[in-house]
Amino acid sequence: MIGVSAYEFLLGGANCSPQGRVLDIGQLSAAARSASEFAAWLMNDYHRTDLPLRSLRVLLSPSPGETIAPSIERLLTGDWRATRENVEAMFAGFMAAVGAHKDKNVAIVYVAGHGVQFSSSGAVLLLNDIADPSRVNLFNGAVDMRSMHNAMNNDQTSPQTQFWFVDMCRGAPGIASEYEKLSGVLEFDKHRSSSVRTSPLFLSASSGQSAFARPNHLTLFCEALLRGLREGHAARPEKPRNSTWHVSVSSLVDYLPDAVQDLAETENVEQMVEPTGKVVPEVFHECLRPPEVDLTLSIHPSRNSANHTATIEHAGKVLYRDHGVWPINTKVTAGLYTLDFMTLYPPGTDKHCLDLHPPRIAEELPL
Amino acid sequence: MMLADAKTGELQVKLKSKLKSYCGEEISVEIRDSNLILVMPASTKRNFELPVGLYQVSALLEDGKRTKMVVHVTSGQIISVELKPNLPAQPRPSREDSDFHSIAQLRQSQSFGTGAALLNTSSDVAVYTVDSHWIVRHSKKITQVPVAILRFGQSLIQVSLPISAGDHHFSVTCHVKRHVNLELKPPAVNISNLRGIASAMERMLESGLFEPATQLASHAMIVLLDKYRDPTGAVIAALILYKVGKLESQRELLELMVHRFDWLPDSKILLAFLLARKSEELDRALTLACQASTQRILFTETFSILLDLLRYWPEDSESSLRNESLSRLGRRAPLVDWRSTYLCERLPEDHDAEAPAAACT
Repeated sequence: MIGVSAYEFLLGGANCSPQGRVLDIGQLSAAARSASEFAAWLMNDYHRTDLPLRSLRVLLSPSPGETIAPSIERLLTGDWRATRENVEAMFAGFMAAVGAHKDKNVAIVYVAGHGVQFSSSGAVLLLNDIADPSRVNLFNGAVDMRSMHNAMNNDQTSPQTQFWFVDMCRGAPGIASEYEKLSGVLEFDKHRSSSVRTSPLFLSASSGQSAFARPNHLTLFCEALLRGLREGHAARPEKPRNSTWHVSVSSLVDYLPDAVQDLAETENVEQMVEPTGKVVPEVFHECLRPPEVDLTLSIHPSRNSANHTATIEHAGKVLYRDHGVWPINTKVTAGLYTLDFMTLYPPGTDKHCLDLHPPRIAEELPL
Repeated sequence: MMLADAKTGELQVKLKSKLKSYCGEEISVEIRDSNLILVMPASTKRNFELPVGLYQVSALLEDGKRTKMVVHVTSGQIISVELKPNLPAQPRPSREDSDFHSIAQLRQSQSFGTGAALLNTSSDVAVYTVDSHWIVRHSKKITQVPVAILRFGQSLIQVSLPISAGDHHFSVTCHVKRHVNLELKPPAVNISNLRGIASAMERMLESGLFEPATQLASHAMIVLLDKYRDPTGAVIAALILYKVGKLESQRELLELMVHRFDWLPDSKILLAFLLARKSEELDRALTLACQASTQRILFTETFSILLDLLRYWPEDSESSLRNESLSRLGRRAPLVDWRSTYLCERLPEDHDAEAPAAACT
């Protein structure tokens, strides 16, 4: 987990350098917190029956006053800044650890911070020491996440199952046109061997787009991802005749783009998640219970609500019988429901099937 | 009709989809009970005897989305449902050759309203104009990936067009939306719905549904090369296979594409990507990659693959050819709109947009 909000040598940083001014990028307020919250979820709530969490590596560079998940903060010791040197060492250790049992292990990567790209598939994360004036190359303090993904995908010692979440902007840096080649970005060697079985890479923004955050809170991508995992919004039963709700590669592919787009729309911005990498079916997380849905059923204002009742059933159980108090605001388990809508005068009935899925359904009757 | 067992009912599922004829396989249907639990593995069956209750029936169709319906299976009854794709509405191209105009003819009749203006195209295409779209097809032998130059406000934009020069020239068109704010968004260029298999894959590619698209893609490469002669559609199939790491299995077809369609560099790029993984084929990979860098490229993604391939070349040795190619691409990269499926870049404001089509490389 890497989260970078504080950039020492960029605008607003502790030691803004001339190179940093050229980049014309400032400080963030949600990236480190987002990475810490995802790490906290992994540590406290991640669940795979046969695949418990074995190790967690976290590097954070929070901005002054940025809140870090307490359960992670109290475990941080030594130099945990997200610098080039620390990231390089962390990846080396991470790859060695997950490679120890490559057939069984699962590798999970989440990074958040400023990002740039030099090609459509590019995703270069800027680290805390980007634009360090003591370095020859401007982009020495940066790591190419696409290259890391490729390296871990084509390394015979890498785990066969990997999940990558890359939460950052993907615009071309303004200065790119002035350079023939921008060197110095951290990359790992890519082997020529065949690739691993499953390795989706979820990019929080489409090529050329910005990734957004609620200031001093979470990035939109992290907020949607955590809601999908904690509340089970990204889950569904994946195995035949098995009632466990799984968050899987395919359920994330279905859920994340829409969930992030919904959050972006509420902020009047555009952000489209791009699922890439090896998108092959695999379970990421097992939910301990099915997700809940906020259900609101109301009567159309033009109707006399006292003239209507409803009976709602799910899986053979009656939740509301001849209910006449409107609106109905309730939490129900996700699933399929029948709704018998009755009009008292003139007498009439209407039957509907409802497909209730999280986070909320608001319907006005008669449908 | 009544069934013998009164505690069950029968569900009949019909799919209004052409995917079966495209990929040669039945499409799988998923059935979930009222708790959304899968009642059985996804099945290519169409008739199901099920206990009485509510069920969600769904299938992935050619609109690139999972189409769902909720049905109530009742005792002893047969319930029929039909799932159909929700394809975006598209005007059909005219069947009359005379309705397609060259850019020179179009300039004389085009009125510049509030939307984008089509300023230029490659010389080997013809355009049929309707209110909402420009529908583009080839007019003679294609010698390079065709392009269009559009103006919106101060923005001058050049975009590659996914058309092919097959035998069915009415069915290898593409649609370009006219009323798009090009200062905010890339041009909306799509393979015409009529090119069913290619447009289905385009939508699956854009919606990230690589898993179902993969099933379609392997078969699609053969059909699009042999039956419809739609190489731009075949490149989408190859691109999907590249994205799921299964391109190697279709290497022979890729070789065939490179051999048959020299004007389409995207297949050279994908083949170069495969070859570069083997030290004994690095020289050929470099030759193909460098050749491709001199041609107009169709997809943004393949442009990007080429850029990355040359930038991160597996050998350290210096190659003036590679450096030259990299410089060529590197100069264009900052102008590319990475959001666009089809390669699209800003042109300088003083670009002579009405210069002969040869300038549109």
